[in-house]
Parts: sequence; C-alpha cells; structure tokens
Amino acid sequence: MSVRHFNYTHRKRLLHSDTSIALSRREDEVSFDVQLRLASYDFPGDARLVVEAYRQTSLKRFGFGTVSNPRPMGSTLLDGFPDVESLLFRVKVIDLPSGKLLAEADRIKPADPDGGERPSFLRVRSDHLSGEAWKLEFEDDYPILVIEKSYGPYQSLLASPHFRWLVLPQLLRSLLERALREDLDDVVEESATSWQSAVLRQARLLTGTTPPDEGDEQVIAEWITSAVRAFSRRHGLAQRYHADVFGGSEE
Amino acid sequence: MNLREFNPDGIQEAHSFLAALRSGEALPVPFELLQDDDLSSPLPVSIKGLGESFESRFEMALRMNTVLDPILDSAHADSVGMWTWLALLYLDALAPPRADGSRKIGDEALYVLEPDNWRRYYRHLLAGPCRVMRAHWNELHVTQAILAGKPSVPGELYEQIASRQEVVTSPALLRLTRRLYWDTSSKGLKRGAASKGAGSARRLAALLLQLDLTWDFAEMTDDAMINLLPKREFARFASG
Repeated sequence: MSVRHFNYTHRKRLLHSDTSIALSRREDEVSFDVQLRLASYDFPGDARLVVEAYRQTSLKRFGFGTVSNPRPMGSTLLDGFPDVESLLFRVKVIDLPSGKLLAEADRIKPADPDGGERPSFLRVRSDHLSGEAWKLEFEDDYPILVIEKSYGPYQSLLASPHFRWLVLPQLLRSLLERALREDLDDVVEESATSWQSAVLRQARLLTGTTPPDEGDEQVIAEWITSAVRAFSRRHGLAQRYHADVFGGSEE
Repeated sequence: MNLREFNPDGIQEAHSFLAALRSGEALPVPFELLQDDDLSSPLPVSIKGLGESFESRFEMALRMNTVLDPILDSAHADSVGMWTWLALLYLDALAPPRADGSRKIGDEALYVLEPDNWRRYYRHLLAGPCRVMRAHWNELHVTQAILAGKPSVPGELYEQIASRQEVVTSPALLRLTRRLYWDTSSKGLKRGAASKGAGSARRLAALLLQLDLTWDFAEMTDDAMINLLPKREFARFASG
C-alpha cells in the first residue's frame, strides 16, 4: 500500500541535481562556487537565495542574490572550519519579508576537484576496529571508509603517505568491484551523481575504456586491475613507497 | 604548563582510568599519567590562563576559547588525544569527588571526544561547550542560557538544544532560547526551563525543528519568532 504524503507547508523540494557546489582551492584558502538550475520551479524572481555551509556546531551563511539574479553577495571563503572536506551545504529559497521557506536542498556534498586523491564521494569516520587499521563499509549502499579510532584524528592518517600507497589502490578496487556488481544501465541511468557513476567515470578516464558490460568475471577483474594500476601510476604511488620506506626524493 | 595530546596508548590508558573510576575506585587527578612522555606529547600552547576550576560551563568555554585559540581552527580542534588529556586534567571540575573520594562517571563520550559522530560529539564536557561558543563567538552572549550550570552537569537545556544541529548552529534560535529562559537578574535559568512540561526547553526544541521546515529564522526578529510559538504555552517565559 502506498503512503500518501501531505505537504502542508507548500515548500518545494529543490533537487540536488539542480544544485552544483564545488570547492575551489587557492594556496591555503578554500572557497566555493554555486550553480543553480531554478528555471523549472516557478519561484518569484525576488525570492532570496541563501547558501549555508555547515559542520557539527559550525555554520556560515552566504547570500546569493535573488532567483532572477543569482550571484554571490560577497566572498565565499570557507574560513573558520577546521575540516573543510567534511562540510555539507544547504541551499534555501526564501520569501521576503515573511521569511517563509519556498524551497530547500539540504545535505549537499560539494565537488572537490583539487582535494587530493581521496574520492570526494567517500565519507570517512573513525570507530573502534579492535586492531584492524581500516575497512570499507556500506551504509544505505553508500561507501564509508572507517578508520581505527585510537589512531587519533583520521585527517592525519588520510594525509600520510603510508595511507596513500597502502590503502588507496585497494579502496578503489573494492569500490569498483561493488559498483560493477550492480546492473550497469541502472547505475548510469539512475543518477549521474551517484557514487557508482562517479567511481566508474574515474576508472573510465584512467583506463581510457568503458567498463565491460558482459558477465565474464575474468574480463571485469582485468578491467578493474588496469584501472587500479593506472591510478597508482598516475599518483606515483610506487615512488612514494620508495621515498617513504627507503628515504630520499619521490621523483 | 603546556597543553598536551595523548597518543593512542595514552587514550587507551585514559579509558582504563575511567573504567577504574566507574568501578568505584577513589582516584585523584592522574598527574603522572598526564605528564608521561610515553603517553602524550606537548603542544605549543600554554594552558596557564585556563585556571584551576570554573564557576560555570559558560566561563569554562570562554576560557578554553581564549587560551586555546591558536589551535582551535586547526586540525587539533578535533584531536581525541588533546580533549581526553584536558578532560582528565580537569577531572575535579568534570567529575567532582564525593566525600569518600569516588566519582560519578558518566558515558565515555563525556570525557573521550568522538569527533566524527555528531550525535555524540556535543556530549564531551569540554569540547562540546567550547565548540558551541566558538560557533557563536561574534555574539557569544546568546550561549549564556544553554551554557548555564556547573561544568559537570550539562543540563536539560543544553541536551535539548545542542543535540539538534539545525537549532544549535542558528544564532537566531540561540538568541530565542536566551530570551525565553535566561534570567538576567539572577544570572541563571528561569524556573521550569529545564522541566519536561509546557513551555520547557524540550518542547521548544521539538517545535523549532517543526518550524524550521517552514521558516528561515536567520533574519527574523526575536518578537517575530516568539509570535510563531503557541502563545499560552510560552507566555510565562516570553513575558520576562
């Protein structure tokens, strides 16, 4: 039996796919850019646009003009957040002067094109793993990298060269194996922004070939291996290993 | 004395120490453990200005934010080792000894920070209030009501407000909690604020989560927000 929902607030649902938020790094500073596709929503032109960046108790609010003239009203610098990588964003369309919310999109994860090798769709958290250093979990079919809690803040482990040459290749392999276990057409058609689409897109760019759509496990395993090897070569993981273990330059 | 940060072995020792306290052992602040170079290392911040005790959670958060300012916007802000070390250093404030020397020790998250778990992060007795105040540093008086009370007792108002991210991040909503529940003459919470009845913080938090679906509070005046609340229920708090 289907459940009927009543929308008493008349608030519209602003789809994540109609919002694009990307972090932009310049030296030590991180700011963000926003693109909104609002034409199909029929909002009043003078409705106010606001973007909120938040993490735990911290929140920063940025004015983005109006529906008819969306533009940042000032700097979009994300200073004052200890960990920009874990920020989430919220876009609000507000009727003024009443302050009524016309629409909202919440929990938007920004794209982070310059944020290092860790895939931006991968969430990270620490937990007690009783001796295991890390593991990949899936919560609601979404990948979470879990890192042993007693190591301290996971950010320092993520930044370490050991993590890069030991963990990242296997992480990519596991994600590709999981993504390819699902029906490829469903993955691609369901949502271009799903983690499965993102990891397959990355592997396609690395290998220069599309993922095999046949059920031959050997062919799939070889394609995954070629993607992992290309990833390792691109990021110089072998050189990092030598530099880290034997000392000297990474070059 | 400099601030220090436990390493994984130090954090493990802290867990064991808390377990011993929880089992009823009467133990003082573990200075030997805190100064052991094998278990912790110094950070480049002097904690001389923190003092030895705190009158209230507000005062504690204010001093922490002032003295630890150089590192609170860095990755150390979420350091499990640092906050656990501080919690043991201020054990007498966070878990005062009873007459027989034993202490009431609560959930582990009150002393050992869980930085990646929002639902438990705010519970840390030092890091939680410190972070809440820092988020509202430009108008820190708005945190007076939710940071009222002794350092060892977070209180119902803090629990209700800080556990709801949409509420605790909003300066407007914290301003509202102060307006409703803070008694400026007694410098404490109004009677009934921490109860479970009509007009209490628990009711307010539940209502705000509902209203947050419909309204953007950020630019609303206090009076406009109060007008959205059920009048009879909140009248005794809103009237002064």
